[in-house]
Amino acid sequence: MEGAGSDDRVTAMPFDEPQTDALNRWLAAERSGLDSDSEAALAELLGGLPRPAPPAGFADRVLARARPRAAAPRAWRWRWVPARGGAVGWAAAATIAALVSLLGLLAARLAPVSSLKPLHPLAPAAVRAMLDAANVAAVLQAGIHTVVALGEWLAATVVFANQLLLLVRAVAEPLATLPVAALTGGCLLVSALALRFLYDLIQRDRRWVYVDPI
Amino acid sequence: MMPTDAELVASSLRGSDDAFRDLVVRFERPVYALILRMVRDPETAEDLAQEVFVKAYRHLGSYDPRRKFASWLFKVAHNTTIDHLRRAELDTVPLAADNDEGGGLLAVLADPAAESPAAATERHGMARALERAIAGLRPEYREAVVLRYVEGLTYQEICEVLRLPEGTVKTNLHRARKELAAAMRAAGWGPVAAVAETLPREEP
Repeated sequence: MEGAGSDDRVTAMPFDEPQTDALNRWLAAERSGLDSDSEAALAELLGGLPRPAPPAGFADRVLARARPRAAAPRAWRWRWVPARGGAVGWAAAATIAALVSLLGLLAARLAPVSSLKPLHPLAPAAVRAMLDAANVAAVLQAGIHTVVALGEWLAATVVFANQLLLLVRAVAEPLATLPVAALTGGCLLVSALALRFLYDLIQRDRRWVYVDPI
Repeated sequence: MMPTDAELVASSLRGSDDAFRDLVVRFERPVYALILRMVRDPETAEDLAQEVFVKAYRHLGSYDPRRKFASWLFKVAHNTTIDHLRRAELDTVPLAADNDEGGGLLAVLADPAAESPAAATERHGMARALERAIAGLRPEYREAVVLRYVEGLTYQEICEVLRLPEGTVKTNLHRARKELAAAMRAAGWGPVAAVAETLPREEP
């Protein structure tokens, strides 16, 4: 046998006299071109080859693998996100997150850093150091820089979107006519069907020539 | 009286795990041996053989009881093996890697004088020589040989398993027999006259 683990099984079963005879008959039939005799002798010869067995407990392992497993609970799922109808749950979670963020932003805008000074004695040392370092001017400056950067990004996006829109219009204009639209749709349909057919053909065609380099 | 394959399948479809276990026990050796001959790795072969039986368990309803169960199962095994090899992109005939003799299987087949009959008998015997010759066949020939001469399938059944025309199967088997015979003679087996014609014998 080919596998290293099965060599012992093969050598452990010696051939007896009739099989040696079958070998001789087979080779003689092959030389004489007697196909039916050759087939019979070879079947007799190879029928005597030992069949390697899978390791003990194979059937148990197969059955254990074949039985449907109970779905394991997903430990990481948040309790307030419903298991079924997940879209609604995630929408609710996103809304809550957005509200919390908005409240945080409003609180930061309404309560300047100086208003946190009364909490100063209660805050940890690191927070106290940050509060000491911060002042209204610095916060305002950072805010203005952020607004300017956002404005620049927005302008660039608008310019790009405008160019994209022009391109889409240029492409869509001919498609608005019925013959061109029908032709394009037909071409796309044929391409999709051909791709699907080819994929299925390759998947179904399990010939060795496609997996073996020889 | 032992239940037939079709009866065991029917029992399995009614939910009897014992019946399916009997089917597994009945066919584990042929399926495992076929896959092992194709992938040449015992661990992979066992894993794929398990996969074959799991697929069979889950798709038992698609089996047509008018046909031979072994053919259906071998077809599943063939498809599973091919799909695995497609994914893994393995070389199924690593001739050069089979170097337990130092020179590799390819070297033994290519050099008739590499192994005299006496040495072969001492070390491996005829079974090993035959397995070596089978391993040296192209995968499509090897599979057809195993299905036909080891498992005893008919041409029609082999056609169904391999999805090949009968003419192709017959041609493959004919060529495989020729190659096997040549490999056995090259390894020093066969009638003395034939060996003497094909081999330059080494003096001890």
